[in-house]
Amino acid sequence: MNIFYRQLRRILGAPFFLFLLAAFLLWNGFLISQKMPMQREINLINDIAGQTGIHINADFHQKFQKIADASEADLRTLYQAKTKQAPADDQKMLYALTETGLPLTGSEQDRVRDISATLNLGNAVQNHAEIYNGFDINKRGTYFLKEVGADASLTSFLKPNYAKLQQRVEQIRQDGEMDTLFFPGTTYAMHSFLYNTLLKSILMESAILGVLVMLYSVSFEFMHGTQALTYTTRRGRMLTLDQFGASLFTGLLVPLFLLGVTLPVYFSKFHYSNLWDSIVSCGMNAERNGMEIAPYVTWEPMTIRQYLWTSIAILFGLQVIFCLFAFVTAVLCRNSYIGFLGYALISMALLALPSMISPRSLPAYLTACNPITAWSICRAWLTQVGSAAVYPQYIPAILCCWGLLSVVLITFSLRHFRRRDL
Amino acid sequence: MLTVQNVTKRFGKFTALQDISLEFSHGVYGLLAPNGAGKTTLMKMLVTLLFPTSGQILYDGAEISSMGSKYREKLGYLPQDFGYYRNNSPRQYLHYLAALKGIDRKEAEKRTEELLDMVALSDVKDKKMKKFSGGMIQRVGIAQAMLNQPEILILDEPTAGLDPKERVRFRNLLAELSKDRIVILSTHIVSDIECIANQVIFIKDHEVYCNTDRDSVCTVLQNKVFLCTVPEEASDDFENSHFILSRREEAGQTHFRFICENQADVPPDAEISTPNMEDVFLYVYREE
Repeated sequence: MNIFYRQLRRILGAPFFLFLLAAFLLWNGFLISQKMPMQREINLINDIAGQTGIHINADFHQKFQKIADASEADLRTLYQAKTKQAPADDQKMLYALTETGLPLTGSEQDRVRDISATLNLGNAVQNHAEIYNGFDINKRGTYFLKEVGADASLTSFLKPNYAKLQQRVEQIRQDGEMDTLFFPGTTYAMHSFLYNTLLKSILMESAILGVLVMLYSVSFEFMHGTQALTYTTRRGRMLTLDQFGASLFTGLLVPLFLLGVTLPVYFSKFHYSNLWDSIVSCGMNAERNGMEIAPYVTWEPMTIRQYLWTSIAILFGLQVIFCLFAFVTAVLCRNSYIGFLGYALISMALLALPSMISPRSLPAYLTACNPITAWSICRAWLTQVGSAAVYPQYIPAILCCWGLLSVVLITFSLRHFRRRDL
Repeated sequence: MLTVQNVTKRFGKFTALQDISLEFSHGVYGLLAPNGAGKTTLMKMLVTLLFPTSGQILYDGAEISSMGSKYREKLGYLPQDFGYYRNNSPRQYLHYLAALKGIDRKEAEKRTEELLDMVALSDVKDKKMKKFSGGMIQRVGIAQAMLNQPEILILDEPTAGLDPKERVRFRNLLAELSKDRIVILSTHIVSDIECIANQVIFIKDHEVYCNTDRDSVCTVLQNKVFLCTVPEEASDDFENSHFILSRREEAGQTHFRFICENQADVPPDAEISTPNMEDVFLYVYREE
C-alpha cells in the first residue's frame, strides 16, 4: 500500500499530468461555450416539458396548445407594438421582428427567441412521427450490401441484424417510444453534441492521459536510470505491478474527474431535468446524418438517463482497455516517448483500417470492431447509426474480446519482463 | 554462502563471461579487471538484473532467481552508474528505496538518519539532489545500499568520485561491515582493494584469471620488481626495453620502477623492490 501510494503521489504530482488535465478542462469548457447561443431555447423546451409532460398524446397537445397560443398572442402584441401594423402570419411577423432591422430591446429579443423556439417546437412535435414513416432498415441494409459488393458471409451476418432492427423500428412505432418530447434534433443536435462532441472529447482526453500516465509510471525507473536500484530491492520487478495499479487507478480517476466537472457544467447550462425519461429513439431526436435525417434506433428501449449512464459505463470500459494496452506497451518498450509514439501509430492504424479495407467480407467488416473505431462513433454506441456497427454485440464484443486480448498480452509481457535482462 | 557455478553469459554472439566459478563467504572480495572484462556483468548477475546463459548462482544452496524476494531482501547493491530522482532530497530518495526494500516507515526514518549521518550528508538531507556533486550522489548511493543492513553487499566502483578522506572513511566502514557479511566490490582503484579486500579476484579474457587471498596476490611478482636510476638521455632506451611500472624525473635523472622476469636481464645497479597489487594489476593486464 505504501508503495502504491507513493506511485500514485508521483503520478498525481507530475507536471504534465496537471497541465494536461487543466488544458482538457478548459477545452471542454470551450466546447460547451460553443453551444451557449442555444441555451435559452434549450432551457425553454425543458421548461415546456415540465408543463406538458414528455409523452406526446392528447393531453400533451392540449397543454402545449395553450403555451403556443400564449406565444402567438405575445408575438402579435410585440409585432403590433413594434410595427404599428395589424397581425399577420406567424412566420411573417417573426421575419419582420428579426430580419428587418427593427430596433428591439434585450428583453424584446429574448421574447422573440422564446416565441420562435415555442413555435418551432410546435412544428417539430407536429412532424415528429414522420421520421419513422417509411423508415425501412431492411431496404437501407440491402442497398449497403449491394454498394460494397458484400459476399455471402457478410450478407448472412448482417441481414438478420437488419431484420432485428426493423422489428425494433416497428416496436418504436407501436409502443409509443417515438412519441416522447426531446430537443428537436434537426435544430439543436443535442444528442450529437453530448455524445459525439463532449463525450468523445472526454474519452479521447482520458485515453491520452491514461496512456501517458501508464507509460510514464511503468517506464519511470528506466527513464531515470534507477532500475538497477529499484528492481534489486525486495519488491524487485513486482514494482511494475504497483506502478500498473497506481496508473490504472489514475486512468479511471481521470474520466471520473473530467466527467465530474464537465457534465455538471453542461447540465447546469443546458437543463434536462424534465427530459430524463424521454426516449432516445423518439422522433424528435432524429438528426441530420450525412444527406439524410435519421432517428437513433437503439437496440433496446432506453431513456435519455439510461443512455447517458450506459454510455458513461462504456467509456470507462474502453478507458480500461486503453490503459491495459498502454501497460503492455510500457513493459515491452522501456522508453516512454517511443512507447507513446508506437501506441499512437497503432491507434491511427486501427482507426484507418476499417475505412481502408472495403467491407466486402465479414472479417473485413469486423475490423471496425476495435476500441479506436468505437471511440470514433461515440454517438452510435447503443444505436444503429452508420454502417460500422450494425449488430447489437458491437460494444460487448469490443469490451470482452479486447479486454481478454489485453489480459493475455499483459500475462505474456509480465512473464517476459520477469526474465528479461535489465 | 554465495556460489557461482560454471556461469557463462552471452549477449548474442558476444561472450561476456565464460564458465565462471566462485564462492563467497564472509569478508571483502575485490574484483579487479579492466573495462569490458565482465565485472559489471558478473555483479548484475549476482543481483538478478541479468540471468546466466548457462550455469547457476546459488545462495545457501538455493538458486537465487527462484528465491526471488527472499534473496533480494538480503542484498545491498550500488551500481556503477545509478540514476536518482533529481527533485528528490536524499531523505525522500532513501525513504522510497526503504519502502521498496520492505523496511517499515519508522525503521526507515531511523536508518535514513543514521546513514545520512554516516555519509556526512545530514546537513543537506532535505536539499534537492539535482544540486549535488558527483561525490555527494555517490555517498547517497552508498547509503541506500546499506539501508536494509544487507547480508550481501555488492558495490560496483563505490569510491568513484569520493575525495581521499571520504574514501578512507568508506574503506574503514566496509572493513567493519565485512565481519559478518559478504562484501563484493569492483574498482579500478587498486589501493581500495589492497587496503580492505580479504580475497582478490582477477578476471581476464572473460574468465577468472586468479582468485586468491590478498597476501598471496603479490607473490607472483616476488623478486621481479626493481628500482633503478638512469641518466635522462638513456631513459627512452631503458623504457623501451623494460616493463615499466612507474617513471619519475629528478635532477637530470630518471627513476624507474620496473618488472624484470629474467634475473640475467636485471641491470647491475638495480635494487629489488616489494611488489604491490597495482604492480600485479599492470602485469596481469599488460596486453590490454
